[in-house]
Amino acid sequence: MSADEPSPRRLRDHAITAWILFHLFAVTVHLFPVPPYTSDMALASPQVQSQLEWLGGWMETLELSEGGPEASKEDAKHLIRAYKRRVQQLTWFSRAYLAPIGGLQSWNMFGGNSPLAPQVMMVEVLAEGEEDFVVYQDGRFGGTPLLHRDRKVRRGFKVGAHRGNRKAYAELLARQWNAEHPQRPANTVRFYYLPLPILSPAEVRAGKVAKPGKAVNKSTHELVP
Amino acid sequence: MSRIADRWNGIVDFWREEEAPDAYALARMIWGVVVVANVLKQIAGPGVIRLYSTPEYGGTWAFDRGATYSLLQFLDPTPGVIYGLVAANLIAGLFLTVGFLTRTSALVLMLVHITLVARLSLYGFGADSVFRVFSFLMVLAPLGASWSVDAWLWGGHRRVPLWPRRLVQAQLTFVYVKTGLVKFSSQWLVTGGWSALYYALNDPGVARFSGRWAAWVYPLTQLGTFVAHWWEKLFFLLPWSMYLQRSDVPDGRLKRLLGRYDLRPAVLGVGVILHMSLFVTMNLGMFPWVTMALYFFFVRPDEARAWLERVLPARLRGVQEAS
Repeated sequence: MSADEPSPRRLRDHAITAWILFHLFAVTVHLFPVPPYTSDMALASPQVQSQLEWLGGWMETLELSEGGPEASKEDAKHLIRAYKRRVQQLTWFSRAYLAPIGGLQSWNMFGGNSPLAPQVMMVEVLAEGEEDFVVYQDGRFGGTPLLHRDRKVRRGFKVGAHRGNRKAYAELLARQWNAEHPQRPANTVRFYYLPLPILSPAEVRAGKVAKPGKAVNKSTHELVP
Repeated sequence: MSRIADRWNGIVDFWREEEAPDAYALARMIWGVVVVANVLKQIAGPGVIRLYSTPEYGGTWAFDRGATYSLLQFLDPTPGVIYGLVAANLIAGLFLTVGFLTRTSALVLMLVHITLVARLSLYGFGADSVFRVFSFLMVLAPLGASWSVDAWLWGGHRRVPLWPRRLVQAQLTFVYVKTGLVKFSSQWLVTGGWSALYYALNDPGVARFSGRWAAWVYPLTQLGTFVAHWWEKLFFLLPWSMYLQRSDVPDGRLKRLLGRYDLRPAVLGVGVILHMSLFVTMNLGMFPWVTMALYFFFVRPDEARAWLERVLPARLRGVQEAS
């Protein structure tokens, strides 16, 4: 590449090459695919359940599991969790190297396996001295405009998040409510999710409109004044 | 033994190659602009206190002095500290754009990104990860070697190492290929009717507006699904073809197939179309912009110099020509 006469290789050139190769190896190892979430809540989605059934079926075929479809599905869950644990044990050096340089990232979030019935968060507030909750934020299309970061938080809560985080977020929403409704301070904030089935293109073209499913994953946070 | 030594020396020679500094200058300016835009977007949007501080100061998440590498191991996330970090982020971004105290600015950006992204917790988005991961590579790259205040004040460099630019290209390739590999559900395949994009456009968690319109252009969304999936999976062909174009790579079938054409316009052009489509239809924050900013690391020095000379006076290059 260089038009100049190549200079003799120095120790520094060898050292840089060795480090580059180690860096690329560490990044590659860190990218080894593991499921990002393996909690019961994360594995409960219908898509994941069908994949677990498929894996459980194979485990039965290979005589790695017995006891019927439900038992095989449980075995498949154990297998996935054990696989994730083992990969993490074997790749500790990669994390130890990448963490201080800010390089830890699996890039799984761009996987983009879209839900067939996305769940949207509804936020309700019970104001001090009032008897009924009122809808504060509606996550559906045409509802409350939300920042992409708020949408991210709500997606995170769906697949399981620390209870403390839910409470912290409820308190943030209460502060926002209080700023917008200074005469009606919030007493309790409640979240729940509405499943919104996505209609097929043919159904949409026929003029059908999806009906939200039953509310799930409720969470109520009483606020301490 | 000598074969192993020859092989190793060949690898060392590949990684110690040098080039003119202009490609880094163009990429630096674009990266700096995106860094600044990201900070301004946070200030104008949710506000930096809400994102990074603790609930008693108006933030969201409690502070966990866990095992994270962060400047907040030594400082409490009070509003003063958070504003200071964000100001440092902004100033370092501006300095990087003009190439003033370039390496120091890149180092400040790396430390601030690691610190602030760790505070985002559940607010964290893809773009934040891209900023954090690539900021380390920016520290290593000779970004200020030309077309910079540094070069103008203290003299630029006629030749700079090529390996940091190659590492950025490699890291971006890892990002795309891994992203393609985890798209394994049937929605991305013929068995699921290549329906992933249709479902994503109808997901209120990411889509800007209702995706009912997509039902009338469903074949287009299927094409988009197919192209996005395979484009990501096969992104490694781009750096590979760039390698095969080298004169020292022996002629062969693969070289004739992949090394014959410059794939950059096609591959990166598709990337721009995909990212712009995502920007229009989905609310993904700075992600499309920060990712496309990295495409400039694929621009060759001669191309970058020609582009820069069109908009900036040549004397600003700050590099003494060889006599």
